[in-house]
Amino acid sequence: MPAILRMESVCFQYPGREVFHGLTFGLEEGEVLGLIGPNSSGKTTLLKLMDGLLNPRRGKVFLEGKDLRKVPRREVARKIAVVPQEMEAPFSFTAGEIVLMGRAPYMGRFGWEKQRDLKIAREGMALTDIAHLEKRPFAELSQGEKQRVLIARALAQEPRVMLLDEPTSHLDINHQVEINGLIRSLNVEKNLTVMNISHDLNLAAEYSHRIVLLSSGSIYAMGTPSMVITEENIRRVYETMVMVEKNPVSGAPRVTPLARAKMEKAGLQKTIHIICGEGSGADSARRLLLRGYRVSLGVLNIGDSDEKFGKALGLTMALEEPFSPISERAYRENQGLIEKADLIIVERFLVGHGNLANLKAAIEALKKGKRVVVLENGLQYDFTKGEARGCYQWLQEGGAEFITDHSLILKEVEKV
Amino acid sequence: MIFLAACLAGVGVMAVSLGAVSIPLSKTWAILFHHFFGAVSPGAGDAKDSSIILDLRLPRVIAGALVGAALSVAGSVLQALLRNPLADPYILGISSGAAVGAVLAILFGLGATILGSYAVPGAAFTGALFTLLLVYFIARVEGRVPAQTMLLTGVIISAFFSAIIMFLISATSDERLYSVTFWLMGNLEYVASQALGVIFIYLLSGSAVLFSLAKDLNLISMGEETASELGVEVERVKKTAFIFTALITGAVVSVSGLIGFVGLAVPHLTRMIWGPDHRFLIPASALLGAMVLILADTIGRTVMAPSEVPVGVVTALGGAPFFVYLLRRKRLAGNP
Repeated sequence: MPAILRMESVCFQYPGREVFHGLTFGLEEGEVLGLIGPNSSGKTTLLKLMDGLLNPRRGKVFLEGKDLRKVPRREVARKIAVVPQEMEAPFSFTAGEIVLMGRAPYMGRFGWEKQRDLKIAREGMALTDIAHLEKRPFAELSQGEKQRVLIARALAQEPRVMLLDEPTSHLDINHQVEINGLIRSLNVEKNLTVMNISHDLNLAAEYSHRIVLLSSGSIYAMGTPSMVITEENIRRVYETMVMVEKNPVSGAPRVTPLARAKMEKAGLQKTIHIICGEGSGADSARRLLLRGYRVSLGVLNIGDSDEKFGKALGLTMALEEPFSPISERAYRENQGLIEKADLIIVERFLVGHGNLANLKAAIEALKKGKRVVVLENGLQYDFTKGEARGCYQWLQEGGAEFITDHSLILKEVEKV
Repeated sequence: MIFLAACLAGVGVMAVSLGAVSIPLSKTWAILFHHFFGAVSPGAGDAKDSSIILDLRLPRVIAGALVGAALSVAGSVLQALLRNPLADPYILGISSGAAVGAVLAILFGLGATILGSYAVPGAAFTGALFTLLLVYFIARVEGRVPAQTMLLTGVIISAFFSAIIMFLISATSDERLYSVTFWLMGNLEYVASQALGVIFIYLLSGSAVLFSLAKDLNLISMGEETASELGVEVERVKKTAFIFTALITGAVVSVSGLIGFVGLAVPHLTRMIWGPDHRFLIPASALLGAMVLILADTIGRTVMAPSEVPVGVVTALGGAPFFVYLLRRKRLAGNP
């Protein structure tokens, strides 16, 4: 099937933050696509690029083969309708007036809505169950009602493609099912192409033909729901342990988060020492603290973001002066903390001559029979001409546990 | 709309009959009727009354109508563009900017050149547009124009331009600026009837363009992204609207001086009564604004007759409390 909306090697950045670097991806005519991914993975940005609300820095977006930037907005609005997460109206337009605004791309510069426009708007309102709200001021509606008004407005645009940004996040289960059913039936009856951003993995799995899993600005996985929504993929991208099984009714994958179930058993009075820097330790520390473990950090330079994190939470830390290499004193302090710990974690941080001693401390610990867990691929830049790499090799050969990501930390800790 | 137009006509006639010398309504009717339709009416022969009405009061009432209409249209358009119910040409400092332009034009004697009566409104327009863009770019934070920054910017710009005007007045001994101080209070006393035609042309063409954007303004008031999603070429509409708002504001400020709060209050009143649709709001605000300013000026002329209170003082006395009321309303507190 041809792609009705296609992005080709799109690069995009907000000031100081790159979001996409060469993303290529197509929305195929007649499909329902679920777009999932953790917070700030770029889902909403992707949607805005696809509607031309944002312009790519490099690369292009094509609507039915035409460069989106060259298509007049009016024409775009007849083909693509967007349902935003929310909208504020500073003036007291009624719900009915807002829905009628969906007819704007079909109207002339002057004049009022015609009978036909009213009919289409009312139809949209009936389908989204808001006919009774027509005369109510939009600003006074509940979040769920507002969402349905925005969906009705999108329907009034009579689009060929609908892009929805978490359209059912504020809806009760009844309306959630109804709206998803409505979208599916429009897809079947009118061949409406749909892209749906969702935080609800189960809903996405249930209602999508195809799922795209976005992870920090690139497509991590794409395919049928059962291909994409797997324990492994979800764990890697969301850094959360989940169980995936088949929904006995629909056959779609069903996701159950696991972390919470074991919460109560934690708090085992164990101490974990984290060797980190530049903010690399905060993730593990937070996970461990929430489960009731004691956490110490070191050696950190004063002013380092991990140091600030630890200070804010009152953690025990081995510290060194700002921008100074690790001194003998700090090294020993760190060893003291390692001595007291049940497990040592080595995070991914930059290693130079100044903090090479941190890796040496980990080796020392391993030699003394401590359990050491190392985050894989930690050494992206080696500023020590191979010495750090040597240390990593040492750790590996010496029997340290290498793990791929933070979601596995708790599992490792529980083994102690 | 017809009802509003009829009300405006009624208010106009009433305003003409009131003043230091009170002329009965029936006589006023007769004189006006005679003047416009040529019919012979009893009592129309009274030359003195006829002169008061036709030469003194009628131009002034018309000026009031034009100024009120322009400021109200400008106010409603700015409120939509900035998505902010507290916007108006006076609060944003646009009127002050126009005044600087006008004062400079008067000082350099442009009013006496071939450009004549077009030059001063033209200079005021330039000042207004410059200020509008200045306020917009200073107050904008990540694509939005939040109420607080916008109001602060407006206050600062107003103060700055007022200082420039005061400086110009104190630095020159030009007689022509003698009346400027009074003019700055907002005054319809010195409006020359020859200027009315020019102002009318500016107002009519400017308002017509703004009216043609009414539907787009509805959508822009929902947010620029929403408008773009629904087919509006947002940047183009914004540019056009800014330019023509500055044009009509500049035109009327050049003759009336600084009149505050009309552009703020009238769109609000109109919205309260007839709803926020700009296809209705713009013309209705124009008519209601004309009425409000005629009334304010009539009050100014009559309360302390034969001496006068400048109309800007009247609108500020009535408008400032209204502004406070709007500011205090709960719904506005969280709005951008």
